[in-house]
Amino acid sequence: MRAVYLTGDLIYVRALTKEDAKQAAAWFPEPFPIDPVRAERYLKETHSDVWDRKRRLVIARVADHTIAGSVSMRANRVHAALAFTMAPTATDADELEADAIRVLVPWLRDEAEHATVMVDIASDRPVSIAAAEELGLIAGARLREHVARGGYRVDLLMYQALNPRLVERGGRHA
Amino acid sequence: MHNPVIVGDRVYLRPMEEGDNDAQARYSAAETETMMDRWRMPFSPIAFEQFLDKLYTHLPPSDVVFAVCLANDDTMIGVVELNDIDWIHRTAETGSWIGDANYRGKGFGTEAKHLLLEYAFDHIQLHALHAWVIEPNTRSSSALAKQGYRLAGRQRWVETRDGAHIDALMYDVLRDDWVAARDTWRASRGD
Repeated sequence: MRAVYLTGDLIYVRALTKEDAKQAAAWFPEPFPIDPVRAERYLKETHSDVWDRKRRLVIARVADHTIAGSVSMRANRVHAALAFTMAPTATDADELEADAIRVLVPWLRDEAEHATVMVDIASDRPVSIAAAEELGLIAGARLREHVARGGYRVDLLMYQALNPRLVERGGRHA
Repeated sequence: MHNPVIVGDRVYLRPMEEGDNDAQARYSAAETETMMDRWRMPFSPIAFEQFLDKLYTHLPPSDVVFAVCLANDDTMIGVVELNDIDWIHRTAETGSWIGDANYRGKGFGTEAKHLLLEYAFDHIQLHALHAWVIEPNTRSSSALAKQGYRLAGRQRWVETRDGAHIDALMYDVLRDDWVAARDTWRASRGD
């Protein structure tokens, strides 16, 4: 199920499958426990329309194919937005998220030619921030104390990639 | 007052209810402000009715929508809302719309928004809120400043005007910012 065009050094991105219901703790977008039966129901409900432009994809490790998290992707014809949910046991979440950014942003911005790609990154994710900035993303906004950690809070950085062809035209359509 | 949740001097907030769908459809059909493109749309009251049906079905909700009503005669003049509530990080996006244009620019929206922020910070203990406005919408920007919102940056190219993408300005507010702004607002009214 690995998407050949969405494979990085550490991770690859793929669609969810029924078997993933048994490993929902690693990808479900809520921190609350979820049993396989409810997870399977969630999978059916969220895949009721094959053309739905809002979808959740699995982030799996290249090394052993274990699920390391998931990414929510909302896209219309103009904009795309990514939001990551990394597995609670992933101690290397920042590195994995960074690799996912390196895989997903060029796909959406350069291949699918969305005008903008939004990625929200917590300010305590230095590897992900570096990956975003290497790709030319700009932190357009900083929402103070929007992310809760254990006993403290950090800011949420709203990074954005702009389609370079539109940048050349000053944001104007041809 | 009818089913109030939080009460001010001239307006109060109550849960949305049957019948509000007709007012929302009527106000959206009469919208004169072109920056309000979310609302400047011939919405059907049937669609609003179904929106209301779904509104309070999951607890805790991801969205809270209040009707803004006049304290003196219970007329519903608009809505204020918390959207995308994150109960783990305790954040939400805020929005407001005084649908009846007769009540714009007269302080009703300011009071309603202060009540919404009081609900968000002091009733359900959210920690931080954010909002966005299309960049040329100076009325909305100045309205946010009255509640203590600070400019947090911009999102590029969120809308299209005159054949070009235009930006949205992002704002955020913490409880201390809001309390200071509310004190200033109250002092300006001579409270």
